[in-house]
Amino acid sequence: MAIVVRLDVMLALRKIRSRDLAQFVGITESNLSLLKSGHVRGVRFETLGKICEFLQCQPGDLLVWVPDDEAEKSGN
Amino acid sequence: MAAWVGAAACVLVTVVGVLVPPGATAPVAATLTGSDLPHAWAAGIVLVLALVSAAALIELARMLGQVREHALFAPAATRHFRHFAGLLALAAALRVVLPAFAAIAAARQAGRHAATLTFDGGDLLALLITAVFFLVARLFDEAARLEDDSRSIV
Repeated sequence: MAIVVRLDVMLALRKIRSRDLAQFVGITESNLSLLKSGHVRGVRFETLGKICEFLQCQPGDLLVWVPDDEAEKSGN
Repeated sequence: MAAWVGAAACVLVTVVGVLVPPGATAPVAATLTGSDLPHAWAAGIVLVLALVSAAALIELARMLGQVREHALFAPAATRHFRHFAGLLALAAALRVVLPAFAAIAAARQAGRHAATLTFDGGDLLALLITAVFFLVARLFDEAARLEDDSRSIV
């Protein structure tokens, strides 16, 4: 997929646990895990906004567009 | 549960109507009227119709049994609903076709060259209603797709 989710990177940078983020956003940890691994079909603006608010970042810090051939090379 | 009871009642009442001789007195009675058809033929037709209608009701019961709180439009439920609509359409079509064929066959057997065929507006209405059920089944498919989308968007 061309859109890569960098949520795990941001969590590591901010030294925040997935559980705390999931609790703040109001989604389950399993859904957050699916989001981190990119195994979701979409993200609601509401969810994205809450994540950005908690991590103090921009949507662009969480979502990155990667050309398909590059994504295949990197194993995404 | 109601659909299962309905299916059983449909077959039971038909069997009673077939087995009880015409004119018999009973507190509860089912009467089989077959116009000019021989009793055995009329009995055969109503039994086929009752079995197909009961099968349709059983499919409806199975469909309702598939509905869960978090999966209202499960593929299995939609499949059962489509079977229900198909069997209902079959019953409605047989209700029009079987008596007509039987009347023609009875007339030929009696050596007559003309047969009286009667069609009820209610039969046509039943066919139209089954067509609506097929449309509802299509809507179920779309609803299942939307439900799946909604579940995979966080």
